[in-house]
Amino acid sequence: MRISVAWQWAGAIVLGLAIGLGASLLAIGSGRGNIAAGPWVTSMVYGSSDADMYTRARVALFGLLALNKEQAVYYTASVDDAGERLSGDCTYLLKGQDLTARWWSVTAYGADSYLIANDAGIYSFSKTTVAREPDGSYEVRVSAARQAGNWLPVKRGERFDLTARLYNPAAAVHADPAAVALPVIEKESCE
Amino acid sequence: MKRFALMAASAILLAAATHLLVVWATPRIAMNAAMTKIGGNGESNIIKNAPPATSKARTIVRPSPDLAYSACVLDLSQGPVRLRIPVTAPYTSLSLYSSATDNYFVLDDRNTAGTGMDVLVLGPGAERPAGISPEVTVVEAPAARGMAIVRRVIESKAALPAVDAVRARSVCDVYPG
Repeated sequence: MRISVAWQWAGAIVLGLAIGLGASLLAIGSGRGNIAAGPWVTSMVYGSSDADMYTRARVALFGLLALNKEQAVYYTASVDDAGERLSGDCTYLLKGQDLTARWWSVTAYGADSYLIANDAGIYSFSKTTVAREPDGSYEVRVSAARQAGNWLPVKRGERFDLTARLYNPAAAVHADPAAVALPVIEKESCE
Repeated sequence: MKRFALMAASAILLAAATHLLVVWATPRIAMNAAMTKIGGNGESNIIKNAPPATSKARTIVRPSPDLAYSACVLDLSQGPVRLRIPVTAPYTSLSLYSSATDNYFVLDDRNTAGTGMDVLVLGPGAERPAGISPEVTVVEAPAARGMAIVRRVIESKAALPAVDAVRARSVCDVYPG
C-alpha cells in the first residue's frame, strides 16, 4: 500500500513536470509570426525594450542579439519559386532589383546554419558587390559548380538556404512585409 | 479520493511552476551563454573587434559575412560605462542588450552627423554624472549586466582594412575611467 502511494505521488510529479515543460515549449514555439513573400519568409520576432516573458523566450531561441526591425529586416528562403527544397545538387538563377533598404545582402547557409566553405571565399552577394545588368538589375547563379558572372557557391549533396538582409529598410517594408520584392529563385538544372 | 485530489492539485501547481521557471530562465541562460562566448575570458567593459565571419566561424549561427562585429560585455555595477564609437559608411549601428535579452537602446550612423557615437550607459537607478557633456547620449540600463554590439557593413573585401583602422579607435570603458 505504502509503495503504491509513493508511485502515485511520483506519477503526479512527473506528470506535473511534463505538462509544465510541454506548455512552455508550446507557448514559446507558437506565435513566431511568420510572413511570406513568395519563397521568402520573415519572422516578426524581435528584441524589444518592453517584451513580455514569452516574447523574450522566443527572442532567446530564434533571434538572440538580433537587430530591431528599424535597423534590419531578415527574410529566409529554403525553397525555390516552385516550392521545392533548395539543394546543392542543383543550379538556381536568382534575378532581382535593388532591395528597398539603405544596404542589403543575400547570404547562403548550409544545413548546419553556418557559412558554406568554398575555395573562392564567397558567402554572399550585396548591393555593393553584385555585378549589374545595364538596367541596374542583377542575375546570380547559386551552384556548387563555378559559374561565369555572379556566383554564390553552395555544397554538392547538401541542402542550403538563403537569407536576405535589409539594413535600414524603407517604411514600406514594415507597412507590408509580404509585398516586398525579393529575388526570384528559378531552378535551372540538377545533377 | 481526498488523496487523489491532493495529488492532482500538486501536479497542476508543479506544472505551473515548471512552466513559469522555464519561460523565465530561457532568455537569461541564452544571454549568459552568449556573453560568455563573445566576451571570451570573462572580461567586461572592454571592446572586442571580431574579424568578419567565414565558414570557420562557429560562435553564433547564421553570422553575416558582410558585417564587422564589435562587442563589449557591460558590467555597470562599478559605475557608468562610456562607449565612444566612430562610424563607417555605409552602415554602423550600436545596440544595447540587457541580460534578459531586451534590446533597450539602438543608434545608427544616420543619427550621428559624422561625429561618431558617444553614449554613457548608467546602471539601474544610477544618477547622471555631473558635468557630462550635452553631446553625450545618456541611457539607463534595465539591468547591471548586458552587452553592447556594434555592427558595420563591409562594402567589399577591399573595404575591410579601412573599416578595421576606424573601429580600432572604439572605446568601451568605465566612466570617468
